Amino acid sequence: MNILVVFTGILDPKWPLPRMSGDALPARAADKLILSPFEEAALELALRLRDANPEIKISALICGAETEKLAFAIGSYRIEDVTRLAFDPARLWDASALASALAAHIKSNAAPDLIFLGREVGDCDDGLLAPLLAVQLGRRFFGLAQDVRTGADAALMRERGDFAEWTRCAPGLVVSVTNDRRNRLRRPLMKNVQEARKRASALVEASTPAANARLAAASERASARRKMPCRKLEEPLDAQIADFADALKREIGA
Amino acid sequence: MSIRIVAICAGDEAPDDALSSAAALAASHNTTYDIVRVAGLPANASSEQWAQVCAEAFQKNKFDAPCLVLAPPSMFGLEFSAYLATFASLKALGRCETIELDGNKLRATRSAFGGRAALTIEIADTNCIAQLRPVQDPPYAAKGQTIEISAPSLPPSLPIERVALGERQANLEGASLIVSGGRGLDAEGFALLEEIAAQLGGAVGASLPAVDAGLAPVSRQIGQSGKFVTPRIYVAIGLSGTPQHLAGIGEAVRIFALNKDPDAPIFDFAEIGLVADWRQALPLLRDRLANPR
Repeated sequence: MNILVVFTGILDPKWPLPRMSGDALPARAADKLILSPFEEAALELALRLRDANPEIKISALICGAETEKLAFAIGSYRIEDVTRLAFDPARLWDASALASALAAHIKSNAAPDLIFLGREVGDCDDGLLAPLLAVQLGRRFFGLAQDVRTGADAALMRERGDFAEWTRCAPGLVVSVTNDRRNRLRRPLMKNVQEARKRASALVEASTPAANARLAAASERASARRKMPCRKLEEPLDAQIADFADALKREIGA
Repeated sequence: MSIRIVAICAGDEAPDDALSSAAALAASHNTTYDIVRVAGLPANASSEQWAQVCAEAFQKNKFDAPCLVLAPPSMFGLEFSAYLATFASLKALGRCETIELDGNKLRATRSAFGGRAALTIEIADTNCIAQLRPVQDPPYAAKGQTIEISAPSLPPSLPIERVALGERQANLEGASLIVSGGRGLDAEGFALLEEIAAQLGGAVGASLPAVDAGLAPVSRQIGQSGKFVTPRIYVAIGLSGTPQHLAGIGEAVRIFALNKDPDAPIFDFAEIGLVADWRQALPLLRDRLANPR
């Protein structure tokens, strides 16, 4: 079985966003890109399937020519086939265009059995890209996977309401993965990190469709929510707790 | 030519999720909105199945371009949008915060970079599908056409085995009070949150870092990449108040905050603030709620 894991990376939220001007996204500096928690979870589930079945081959496809650092990081998990797709970073806001470029690349290469992505792909996607990619590839989609069962009856799990939903890891599936305590990414072994540094990732051109929408404005903001004066309760703690509890009880009509 | 607004009633969502946002959008543009309502689908029908049924309706009832389809603002609605966008050749815009219509042009504002940036997308003469947050008490707007679709035969869905998870807490969806915790808490802290939420008849929520730390399941995650909630009261315990987290809380929601850092940004958005360490405060709060004096 072959698994393709798709990455884009996000700008490290520990750093302020680069200045935005007018209608351009912030620059994606290579040294500020990290894997998102969702991408880490997707990678971990793929690694666990490979742990249980060494025949499984994992390859990686990373969006953006500027992702060399991510390519090394991903290669450190004994992933030898790492490809960077030179998608225009100025178009990353357009999930349809990115899904088309990814689908075109995947169709032009050996078809992977399973495709894993984070539930959000990059900084501008809100969850559209993974199902868009699935439908453009004519594959079935399993969204928000949290865990995997390995072995002969390998299956993916997600929780929906009061149920755990399981589906077999059948070839032809596109899976988006969300973060969960069961899929936190392990650390790579140092020897594999050293090996990864000796390998270079391939860089391929992206087939980007013509734009039918445009980014009219991009602006930084602290919070979408309006500030308000806060009534901070006064010491001592017992009195604060009494005030706080009484306010809550008034609100629920108790 | 002005853009036609179409609301989809899909899946097991609250039926007025897309309707309220469509009504508000129509009212603000002094126009009407149409409804596509699907009947006869099983409660657990997949987003793909819903989209296939709706796509047939779109082919049969040719909408003159341009047209804006509004889908429910949930993960189900997002998947549905992706499918319907492809099946019916619509431009998928994702979760939008605002949409402005101007003749044949549409301008949509979306959040990006974990809520740290706003993007405005402009599109003209193109059929689109988007999600808008539900509106409480939307202004009146006249309904136009209602298209009722029945789904006698469904395309096969992905085979899924469903296993009951056992005893569960109250759902975030529809909760009138949510008690939510951040990374500053530990397992003991979240156990206290559950007790306090039960005392208040509320639900328990969590931030992304708390979910990452394994303190709460992802189904409890509130924020930019989690659920969008609109309770009457949101009790934020040990939450700093990042834009990413606040993006998941409705604008009209009143926040009560408890944090040991008096300068935590959450206090800028809270109505009542309690500056204390949760380890001391939560047991006292639980006891006070149980035994008022």
